[in-house]
Amino acid sequence: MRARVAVLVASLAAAPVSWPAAADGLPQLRTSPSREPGPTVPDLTSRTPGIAPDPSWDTFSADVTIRRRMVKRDGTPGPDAPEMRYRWVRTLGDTGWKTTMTVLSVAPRAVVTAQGARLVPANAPMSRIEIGDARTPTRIYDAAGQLLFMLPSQPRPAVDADPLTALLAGLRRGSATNVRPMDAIDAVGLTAPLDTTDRSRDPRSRQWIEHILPNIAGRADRRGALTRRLGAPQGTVRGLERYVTASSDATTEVLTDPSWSVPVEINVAREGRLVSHSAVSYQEDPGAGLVRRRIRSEQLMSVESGDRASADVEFTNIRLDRGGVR
Amino acid sequence: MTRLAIAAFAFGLAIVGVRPVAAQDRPVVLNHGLASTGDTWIDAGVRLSTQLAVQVHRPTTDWKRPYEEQASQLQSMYGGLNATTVALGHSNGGVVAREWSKARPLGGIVTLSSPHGGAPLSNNFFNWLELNLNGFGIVSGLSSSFGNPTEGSWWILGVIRGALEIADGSARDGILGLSRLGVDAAMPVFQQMRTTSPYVRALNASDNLAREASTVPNRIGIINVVSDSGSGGIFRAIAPELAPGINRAIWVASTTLDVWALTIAATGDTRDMERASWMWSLAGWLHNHERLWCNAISDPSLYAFTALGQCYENDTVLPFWTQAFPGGVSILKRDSQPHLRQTQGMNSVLYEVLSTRLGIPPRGTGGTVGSPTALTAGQALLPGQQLWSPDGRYRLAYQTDGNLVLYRYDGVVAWSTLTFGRSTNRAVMQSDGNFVVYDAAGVAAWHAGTYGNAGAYMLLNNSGTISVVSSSGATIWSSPQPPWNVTPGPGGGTPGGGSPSQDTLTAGARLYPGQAVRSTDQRFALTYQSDGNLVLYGPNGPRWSTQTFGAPGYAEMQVDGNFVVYASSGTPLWASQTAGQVNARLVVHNDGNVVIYTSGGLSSWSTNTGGS
Repeated sequence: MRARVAVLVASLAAAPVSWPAAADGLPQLRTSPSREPGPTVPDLTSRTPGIAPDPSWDTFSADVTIRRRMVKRDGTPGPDAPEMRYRWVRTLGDTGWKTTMTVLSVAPRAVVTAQGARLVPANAPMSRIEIGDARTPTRIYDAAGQLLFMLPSQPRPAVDADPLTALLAGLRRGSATNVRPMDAIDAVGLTAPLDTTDRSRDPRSRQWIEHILPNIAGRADRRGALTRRLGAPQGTVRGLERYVTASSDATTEVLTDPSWSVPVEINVAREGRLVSHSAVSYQEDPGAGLVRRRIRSEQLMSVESGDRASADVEFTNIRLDRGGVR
Repeated sequence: MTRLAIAAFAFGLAIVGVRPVAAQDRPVVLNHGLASTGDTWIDAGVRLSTQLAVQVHRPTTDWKRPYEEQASQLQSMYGGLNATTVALGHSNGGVVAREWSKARPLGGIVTLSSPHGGAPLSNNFFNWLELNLNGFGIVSGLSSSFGNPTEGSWWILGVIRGALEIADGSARDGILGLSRLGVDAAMPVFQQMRTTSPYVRALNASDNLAREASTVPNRIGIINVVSDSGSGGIFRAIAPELAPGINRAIWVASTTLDVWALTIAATGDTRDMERASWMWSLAGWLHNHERLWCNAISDPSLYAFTALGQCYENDTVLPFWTQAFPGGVSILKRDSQPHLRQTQGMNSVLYEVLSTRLGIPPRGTGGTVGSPTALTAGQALLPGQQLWSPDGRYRLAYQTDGNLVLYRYDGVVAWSTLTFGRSTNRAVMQSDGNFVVYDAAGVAAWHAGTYGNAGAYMLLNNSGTISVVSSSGATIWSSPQPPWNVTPGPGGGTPGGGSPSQDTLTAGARLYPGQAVRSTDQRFALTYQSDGNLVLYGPNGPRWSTQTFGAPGYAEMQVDGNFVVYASSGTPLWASQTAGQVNARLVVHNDGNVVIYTSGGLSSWSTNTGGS
């Protein structure tokens, strides 16, 4: 089993993010494979010594590196967004999980001056974001660590008086002929509550870690959940179990590793076109489990241009601790 | 009959027709750029005409029309102004001024952030539109992933709504902002603005540059660069005051998307995985939207919107490199005003350029209001009349004793024709190019010997000299440097107007080749060498230099606080990058360090050579 996972991980890690070939049951792709090279930063080995969950752990931490790029229809690499590195920490409190995301670094940008090219540090105006439980507004801290502001916990008025909104509103005048996605959301009544907690779940549950650090013992539960959600597997593709579900708006294909029942590829098609492709890679952990190490995704930004947006999210230094980050 | 007399006879009509210098202001035509009118210059016009002896005109042209048509409009309005007229154009208005010079001679062209090499935004216009349309696409894609509200973390839509609004607004305003800047692919001048357009190629072709050099003696391009060129995106251009807030909003939105995407990606729900992927992409698009504006406005290459795209320093709309005046003098201003604020916010720079580079005297200082600093063909000084140098420190007086004398501000004689005791008539710049002092009998008492240069003119310089300059801009005769400017060493820097001091260059002071400023103990000398290099020498030899060999011009401690080494062409070769400190001074210390101090006494720059 371990050998199989190793092969799977190696193949995913070596392969560049690519717009996959069409699978059976999914519409024909209208885009060509990406020629984008893979990430330049090598995989770091998790320092986690055997992350077999201790039932009493209450702190999760990981470093997250996000690299993003646009890809042209013909696969030509487009511009990069600055590489972002975060420290992601989740701690369990009396009322649920508190999430803290700290900006570790932002890649500098190159500027060509009259004296030649130089790198300009990206001065991120914020350093940290904290998301508490349902009753606590999200807090944003500035570069000096001071509270910048709290995101509203109540619906905002239609016309906000802050300068940004006023500016945007002013510039929009006379442009009502354009289709506005946000208007479309409003039109279908999808105004979701601003409460940041899914009330259907136990706010103190540790279940979510199963998706980041899958354990072999949870295989049956994971497979059962997949079957309930997506139906029975419909054969295999490249040795991966294939689940397909179709709704009125989308067809979703999920490919899973049969040994672990973890998703390794998710494809979504809408109106006959592949619009979203995600690949998840794992690394075997000494504690008889897997560690989710990377999510690579591409989304179709425009049917007309065929341009895609790619994101490569890498997890390193994953730890489970008790009593805070050590 | 001497050759001079023959020349005088031959050009007798011209001499007879000489009119005395009138107390007349110099015409300055302030031309606007895209999406603007002459009203954009109201404040600057009032200020300049108050401070300088200028007569300001603020035409409004049809800025969407081709450059040639706009120039024709200028010609129809102001073709009758005299040949000393200065055309000062902002943005496209500078290119129009150059086009106008084809129809008539101009005394000078000053361009303020003009796209001499074209505007890269014209090249990248559709790439930029596509980027914004892609933004709508991601917002739509993310929205669609919530199509079934019962699946997974459907509630996340409410949480990220603010981020979606910012992305939606950025995409929308990324497009609308173009019209705010006046950039419209349908307007006739748009194609001419492309960096590869035939118009731009012809504008900067050698034959046109040669024509400009021969018909426009002063050609100056002011290059503006804002600090942190890549921050704020298009909002930096269309709403500079709000750009920091928008930059913050983009960061908050993108980080919010990132953190919530991580959170829902950990739920294991496949629909949530799709949503998370869209959210990461949208966060990346927000960052790119901000950064790619810089590429859009500054990189004219086909790679601007690829991984190889470049961001060049800019003034929020135009990169530095296109603002340089080909064949002319270019002045780089850092930490300057953003493009749309330049006609209102750069009076001190315009004053400096018009006064020191164009020789327009200050109004109300140095004697007669509106006194010219030059004599063009046919102009003369009558007994009792005088000229003033641009900075007001020198005056050239044709005295009633027949002598033509150049005085320093304190009354010290810098030079004279030694024609005292002769009867008086006039000192005239003849149309044959000779500058002559005639006595009452019509006999030349003194002359510069520059006949045979039709179109030449006489200039009184800040350096305490007078020059005869040919129509091509070449100096064909000059009076000798005054004694205090010749000897290198203590007091170097007087020519530009700074107060002499043994170890200090004050604001406005210059070092010319061979001059130096020394420490008070004479052990260290900052020397501007005849090879163009500015070198700090100590007892043991050279300690520091600017490495600016070739084509020596001068080194100036500018009034804006920047210490700059210029080539003979006027091109800045090296600068201390300390602009923005009025009345700064440079001091050579006895420990071997050279320091620029602000007027408040703070150190803003040094050679870091002290103490050893």
